[in-house]
Amino acid sequence: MSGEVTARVAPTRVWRRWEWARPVRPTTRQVLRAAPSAETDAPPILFVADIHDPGGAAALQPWLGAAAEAGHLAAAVSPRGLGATVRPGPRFAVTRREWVHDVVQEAVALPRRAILVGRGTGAWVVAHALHRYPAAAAVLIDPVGLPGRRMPGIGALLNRPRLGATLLLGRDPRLPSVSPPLLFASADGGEHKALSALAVRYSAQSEWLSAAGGALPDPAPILAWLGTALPAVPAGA
Amino acid sequence: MTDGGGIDEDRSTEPAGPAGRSVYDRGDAVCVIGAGSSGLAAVKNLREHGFEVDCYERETGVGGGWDVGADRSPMYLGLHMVSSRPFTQFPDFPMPDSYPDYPDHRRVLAYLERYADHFGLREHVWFGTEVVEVAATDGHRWEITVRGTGGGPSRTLRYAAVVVANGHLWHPYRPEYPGQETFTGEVIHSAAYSDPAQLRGKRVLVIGGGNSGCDIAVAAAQQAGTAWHSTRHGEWLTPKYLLGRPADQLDDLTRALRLPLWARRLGYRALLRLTAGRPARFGLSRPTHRPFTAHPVVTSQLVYHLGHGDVIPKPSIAEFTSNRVLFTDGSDADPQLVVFATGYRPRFDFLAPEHLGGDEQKPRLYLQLLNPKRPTLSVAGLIDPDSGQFGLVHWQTVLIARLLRSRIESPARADALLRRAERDLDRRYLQTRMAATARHRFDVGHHRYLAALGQALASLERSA
Repeated sequence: MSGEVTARVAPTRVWRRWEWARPVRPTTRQVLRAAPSAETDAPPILFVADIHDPGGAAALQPWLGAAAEAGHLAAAVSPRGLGATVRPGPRFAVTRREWVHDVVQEAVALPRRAILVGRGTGAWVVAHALHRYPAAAAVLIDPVGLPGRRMPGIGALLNRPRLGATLLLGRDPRLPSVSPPLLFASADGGEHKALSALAVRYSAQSEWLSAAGGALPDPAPILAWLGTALPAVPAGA
Repeated sequence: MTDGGGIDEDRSTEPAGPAGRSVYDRGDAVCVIGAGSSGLAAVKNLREHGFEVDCYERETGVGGGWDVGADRSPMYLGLHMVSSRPFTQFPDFPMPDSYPDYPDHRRVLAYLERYADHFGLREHVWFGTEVVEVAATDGHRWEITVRGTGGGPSRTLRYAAVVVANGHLWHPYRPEYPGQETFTGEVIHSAAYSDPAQLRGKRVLVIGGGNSGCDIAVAAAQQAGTAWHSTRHGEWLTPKYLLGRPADQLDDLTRALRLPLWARRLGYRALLRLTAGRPARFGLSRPTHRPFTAHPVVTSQLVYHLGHGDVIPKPSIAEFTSNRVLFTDGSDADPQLVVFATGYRPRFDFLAPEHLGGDEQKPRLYLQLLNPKRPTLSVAGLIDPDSGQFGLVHWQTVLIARLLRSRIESPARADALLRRAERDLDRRYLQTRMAATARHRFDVGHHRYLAALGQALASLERSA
């Protein structure tokens, strides 16, 4: 499906008034890392935790191991308020801008242009972060907050009302004009139709993962897709 | 690619160069001159838009003027940003949260090096190679003659486009004063000032009331035996922090809230009056221009040192004698060292000025980056913004890359932009009418300038 001109491209936003006037407050983020045993040319991967992941990034530990085994330097971040990342100020007032900031900060901290992989609300944050960071590729797993599936669960909404309002009512992320290879993946059997529609809308590819009842899906198909979607690093380019 | 000697000889297609030398045709590749902050942004954005890029850099590392070791660097120890982090960083590569509000030049250099490594830019840079000549050929292509900085033979390559990013803060500007040649003390330009130890124990006169002039006056107050600071006119000395936050962020807050200019002026005057007080109290002349008609001079420490008597404020210089300097108010001083912090002027040794639509001092460029008659030649970073530089240069280079891409993919849209460029050639992008001195020729206000850049970008991407 890639290559069709169905994707809606967002205009480039050069004016970032609130970014200048009220920059996001710094915080110390929980980041877990895994390095491959030998140095490779594969781009590093940044995993972004879902709002439901117990312990934030710690829940993504199996993915880190799998990515490192596939030769990627891997990191997993908990956006503020999740896992061990503290939000300065009240936790319930966390905003999307802060989450995007956390993801982009950790992406640029990696040694090379990174692949962003997000799950659930993490996928939503990645979709927005693509406007702030020119990722090498992006993978959105069971995205929440995109057209077709907005509801992250009532508990999550009530815990973080500002974020919840943006999830439900905020603008859809559209693709940046220079867009990286994009993959939608789902481990949720009943969501095939919605996900295919999303993939068409973003002229992305889609992939079905196997997972048993809400467990962390097996990342092998994603890593395989990355191997095909990313051009092998050509010598001297 | 770490030296200039490895260019693939197979690419040599046409042996008929201007001086009978062979010309290597690099096809659709783009040449970027300089690997400083603007050059790096150009390389990255051109690569992202699918271009082959060769970047030539005189020095052996990236960072241009930010590398204090580079021989043309205007840096000095103790130099800090005058605009805070959100304005200074590249929009797609934010500075780490661990950086302070106003990073110093070492952190900025480290940041630029990380930028180059993160996006894999070094492999496109030919270090230790300088551009000797840029000549136009038929069909908007360019012949670039390069040579190793250490000497050696020169070679000529043909490119589809050129981005000039050689910086405009390396060629010192020194005004002449009567009697200056008879003066026996030491006279240096701020370009030659790199370490406060140069001032230690001496009687020092600092000339110039810009940001570097005030910085060096503060260093002189701390190090020198006696320090004088000569300025031609009063400046609005903005502290780095106002109301507990970086002053430029506060200023942008008033803009984000869409306060009109008069209200912002009123608030600014009131705030300065309540914090720093009346300039005359410190022996400074009163600014004759209204706030925001010249770029701010940001210094918290100058007023502090004036108040402690560590710096003696002086007006303009009337003349030099063999061992004294006379000022326009009749007073004099006997400095051992005179530091001219009188700024820089752009210089393009390798390029005929008519390609820039004017002369070297006054290029006539659309958005300060493009001569519509030469759409494949652009200048990145020839701006003096009222905020940080890198963010604006990032969008400049995105526009350059998109324009070059459009010339291939949708020429009609590129032509439309060039027509707009013809029309808007003399437009300035300032928030208000600015003081009209040579120093302010490249001034842009970041809001207006970015709005114009955004419009130009949108015109290229409309209805893709």
